[in-house]
Amino acid sequence: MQNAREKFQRQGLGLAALSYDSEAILEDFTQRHSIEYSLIADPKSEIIGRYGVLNANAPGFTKNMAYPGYFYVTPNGIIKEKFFEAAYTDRETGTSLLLKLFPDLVEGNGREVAAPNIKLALLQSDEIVGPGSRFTVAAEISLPPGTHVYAPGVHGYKPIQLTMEASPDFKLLPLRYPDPRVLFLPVINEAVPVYEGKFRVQQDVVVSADRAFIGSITQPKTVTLKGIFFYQACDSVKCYLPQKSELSWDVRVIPLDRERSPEPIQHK
Amino acid sequence: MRLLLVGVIFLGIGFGAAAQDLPGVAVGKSAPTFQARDQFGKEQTISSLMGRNGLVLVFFRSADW
Repeated sequence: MQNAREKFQRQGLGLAALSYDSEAILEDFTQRHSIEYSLIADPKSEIIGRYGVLNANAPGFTKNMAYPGYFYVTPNGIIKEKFFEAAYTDRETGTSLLLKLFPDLVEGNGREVAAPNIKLALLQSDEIVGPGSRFTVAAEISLPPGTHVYAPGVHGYKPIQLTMEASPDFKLLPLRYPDPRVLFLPVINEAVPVYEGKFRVQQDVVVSADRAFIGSITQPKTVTLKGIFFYQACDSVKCYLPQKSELSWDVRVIPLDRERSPEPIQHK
Repeated sequence: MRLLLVGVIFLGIGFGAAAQDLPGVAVGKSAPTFQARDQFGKEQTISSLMGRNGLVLVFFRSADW
């Protein structure tokens, strides 16, 4: 999250994180991790309650902690978006969160991959993640003017398709394709869903938080996500041969921070 | 603001969860005000944390365990 701080600033976004921890816990954590943005202490879980994200059923000293997630508040103080999820172990990375808020603005030039008829670049929200981290990888497709590819759901044509390889090291969430444009093709007198220009297919990934996996990460380890991108590019008169490109993204998985606050200030 | 709308659509499609199933104050409502200290001992409010394009307020479990 700290890495994302500058990116938030560049977008003119304030960033703050709130928990049921005491000021002392947050101060200790900040010193160990050099956090620059505000961590708000809500030790009685009052603000957490007011925002409706209180987990009153959590066991033991975790009782009354917050459900993890975020709100995006406009400069007028209105909640414009929120994102919360049930999975207890998922930890959204700061850059992945930014990517959800501003999908078109995520930085990074992308690594180009050879692909006939189109330009294909691979992006990822994070290079370094931990067990349970949730991050995003993306394939950015750029089509020459006058060219299109078919969107998933099309009938009678070959739509683009990204097939990701499963692995016990991570969980793949549903792929996210952008909304297609409906194109009328006079030659065949048909309206079909297509993509043109530049667009991204995004894959959210959650690194395993299984005990065995966590135990196996004693040293940073590179995990590779693999996928195959199928497509067929067409222009107004012809279609090119169907193609497939092999894609891969590497992330470094680092061990979880298991250090707790000093005993006197711990939750009990 | 179009970008943000795109984000909303992604959330809808990506997770298939209707907005009312999610915990927390509903989208479109005012963010509840608060005044609380941060780790630097500074009093913070929604306004003091706000950037020119808005504020992302993250709720997390704990920095302790």
